[in-house]
Amino acid sequence: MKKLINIAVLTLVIAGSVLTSCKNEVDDFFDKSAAERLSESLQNYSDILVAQGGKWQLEYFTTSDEPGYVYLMTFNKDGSVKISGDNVYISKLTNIDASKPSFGSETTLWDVIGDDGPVLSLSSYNKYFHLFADPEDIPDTEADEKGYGHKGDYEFDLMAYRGDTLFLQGKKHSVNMIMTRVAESIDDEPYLTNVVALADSFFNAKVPTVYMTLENGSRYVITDGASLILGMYPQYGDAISMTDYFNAIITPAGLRFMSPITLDLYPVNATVPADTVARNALKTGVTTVQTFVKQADGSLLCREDGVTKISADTINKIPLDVNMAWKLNASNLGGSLADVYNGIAPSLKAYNSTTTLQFIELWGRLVEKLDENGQVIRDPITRRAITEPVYYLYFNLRRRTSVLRLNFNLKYERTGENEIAFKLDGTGDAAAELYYANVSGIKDFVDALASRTFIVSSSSLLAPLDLKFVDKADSGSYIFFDWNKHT
Amino acid sequence: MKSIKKYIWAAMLVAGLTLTMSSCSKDEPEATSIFPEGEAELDPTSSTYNLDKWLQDNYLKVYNLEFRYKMQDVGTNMNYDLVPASYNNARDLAVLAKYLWFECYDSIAEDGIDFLKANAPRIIHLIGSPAYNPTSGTMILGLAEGGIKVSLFRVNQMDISNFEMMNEFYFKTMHHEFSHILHQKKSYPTVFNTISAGHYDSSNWQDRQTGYCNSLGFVTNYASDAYREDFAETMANFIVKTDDQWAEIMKNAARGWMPSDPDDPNATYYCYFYYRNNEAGDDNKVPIAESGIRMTVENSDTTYYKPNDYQLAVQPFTPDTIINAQGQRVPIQRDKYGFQVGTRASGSNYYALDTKGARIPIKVYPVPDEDGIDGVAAINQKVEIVRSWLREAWGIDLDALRKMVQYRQKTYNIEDLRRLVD
Repeated sequence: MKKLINIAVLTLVIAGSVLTSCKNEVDDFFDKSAAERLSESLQNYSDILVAQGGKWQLEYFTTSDEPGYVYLMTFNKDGSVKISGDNVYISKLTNIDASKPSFGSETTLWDVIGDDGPVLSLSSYNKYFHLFADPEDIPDTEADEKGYGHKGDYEFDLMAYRGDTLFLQGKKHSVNMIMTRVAESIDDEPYLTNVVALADSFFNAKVPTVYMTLENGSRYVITDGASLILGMYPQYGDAISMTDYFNAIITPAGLRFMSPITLDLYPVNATVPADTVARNALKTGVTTVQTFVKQADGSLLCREDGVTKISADTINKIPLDVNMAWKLNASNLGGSLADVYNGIAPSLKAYNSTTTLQFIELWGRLVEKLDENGQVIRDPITRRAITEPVYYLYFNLRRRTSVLRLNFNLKYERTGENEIAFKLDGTGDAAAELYYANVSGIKDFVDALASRTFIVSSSSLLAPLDLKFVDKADSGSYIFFDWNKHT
Repeated sequence: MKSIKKYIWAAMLVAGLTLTMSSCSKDEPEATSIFPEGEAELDPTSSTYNLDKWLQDNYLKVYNLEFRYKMQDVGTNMNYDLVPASYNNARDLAVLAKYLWFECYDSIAEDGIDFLKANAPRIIHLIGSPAYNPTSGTMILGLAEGGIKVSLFRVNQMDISNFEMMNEFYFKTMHHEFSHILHQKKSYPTVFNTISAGHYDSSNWQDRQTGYCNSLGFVTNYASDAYREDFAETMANFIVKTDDQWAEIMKNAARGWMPSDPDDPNATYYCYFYYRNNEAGDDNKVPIAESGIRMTVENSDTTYYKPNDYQLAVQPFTPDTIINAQGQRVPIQRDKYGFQVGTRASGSNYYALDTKGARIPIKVYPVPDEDGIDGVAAINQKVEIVRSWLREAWGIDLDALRKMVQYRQKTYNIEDLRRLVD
């Protein structure tokens, strides 16, 4: 009996307790119903989208197999949205074989709808945007993507709004993206054309290798930058087995990877073994990066840690790349270097009135290393010839019906940070020796270059297609070289 | 003691009920709904106001139906990658559906407009792309979900100038899905399911040829998927197919068909064959498609179909020039049929040579209809069941409905219909 009474009392106490909990759960936390709060949220995000002219830049990603694409969206209060893009798939709408990006813009419809939360829906078909969600085969790939296409989203969960940035997540494919408010006055076409040009300037195909320098000074080699699906491997690791790929987008602000990427830290200049166990033993930590901001010097600096940097090789190593050649910019010289350059033409004319200077170039190549007997030195295991770089200061002279080439042998010395010095290594080939001996202007120019130490800089440390050499002892004397196709 | 025990159990029950009822009471809807009741208030400044107003006046107010042209992917099967319909195509489909579909039922049904008000789906959802099933290689043209929502796909590929395509992908699909809604409310006679029993193939229907399916008693290959699809396809195709298209179905239904390879389940079926070199025998039978042979009666330039005559077939491949005995390249001499004079063209199965090298025409035979199925009778029987069921269950004259649809689809003017909205 007592036991039954206890059970009854216990039941009533529990029931009362539960009832009280249920009642307070709703009333205590929110003063409005879930539906009211959702409705307010929809209106709030709609207002945010159309405010200040309603123009936004969407950093749009589909999958990790594709680069990101910049779209401009102008949201209007009447439910229309102008969507503009500039990419190769817009070109393919009219020419399936197109390989260059082109601009397209169309006005369609938008809405903020409710699901689990507010959702931005681009709710009518926009041929320049929804092409990434169209479940059709992608024309330039081997795989058959019919049924899913690029796997792009056009409905986005609106996750947060902070500082004129909307944080979105694709409704179907769950890719995180951001949309940043831009000035209403921006003209879509030139803006997006400039973004495409920026991609070229960031990762120019003429600069085959750039580096990500991590917080401890170690570096990763970046390849395929121009594709925006960046291949990355430790600088002293095996390119084939250790390359990972990360897709990114370029905007006027800089570069952002689709997702945060985590890279292993190794000691500076240490060889990174391919063996996983040995590699893990060498590893000193990891670093995670995603967003890189364009700097005044052209390099990209990581926003998250403020240290990690993307740039081309150390600037005074650039002229030493045997895959590149540098043509003197005759219209951009200063001080005593301009004087000696200007002395070439008259002395050349005095020596031979039909000979003129076409251009001057710095270039290098790999040659087989020889022993004291003139025999090729070979790797004892692979038997491959061992090579070494040689460099030239090259004068291209034009005679009445022919071209005369003078190659002066040069040696480079990296004398300090951003510094480089040239030395003549012997004189050069027979033609170079002849003209060095008989044309004072050429001798003076070669001697001037080979007797000074220069401070090297470029307008872009990421895509150094121009190099400025300033005389360390005379900052008014300088000379410019422009990237030239290696011949 | 016993009575106290009863009381305690009663108290526990009351407590339990109270608990349950209290919990439930929080789920009771409040007096005012959180959703707007009645018509949604349209914004006259909206860029889509004209269309929204027309849809409200012509669908929502008339049929209590939401014509949803703005995509809500969350309202679709998320397993498919789909895109929204373009605004212009959605507008065209909205006005065409009203003219070619809703108004036809309004006119023909005994209950007039109340028929669709009671039975039409509550939502028509337009989707721009097909819903592909990459595994089976099929695509969904329409979906009817519980009689509530009909989804129409592939709206962005709509070609307003191609009425066969419009019928195939939209209007036939609408009749098809609507028939599902109707037969889910009032079942059709089960005898329908027995007519083609044993000939359905739910896993490979998409690989079957339409003509061959016709001869099995199905109006389309999709009809051979299952009973219910057969019923819906029979009704939808009978309504929208033109007289010529229907006659083609019945012609195929009356034919015999043979596969290119009897051992290949995905073989192509043909309704003609010939014997190699005119030598009769099962091993010499070569199937041939009607479209693949050019029937030219000897001594005549007329090309027409007459399968029991001796026939010449397609022109065999030969080069345009030839090196003659003198080593010169000269044009090939051809007879009026395009054959090279005095030679036998390589790779041709379509004619034989006699002992003197003269060409012997090949005789083409229709494949005998030996499958034991009277395709024409089966289709007619199915149509009759649909006809009776529509009349008795729904008060709809199928033939009158077909006549009106046929007339309207031949005579509509899209510009006039667009003006209703714009």
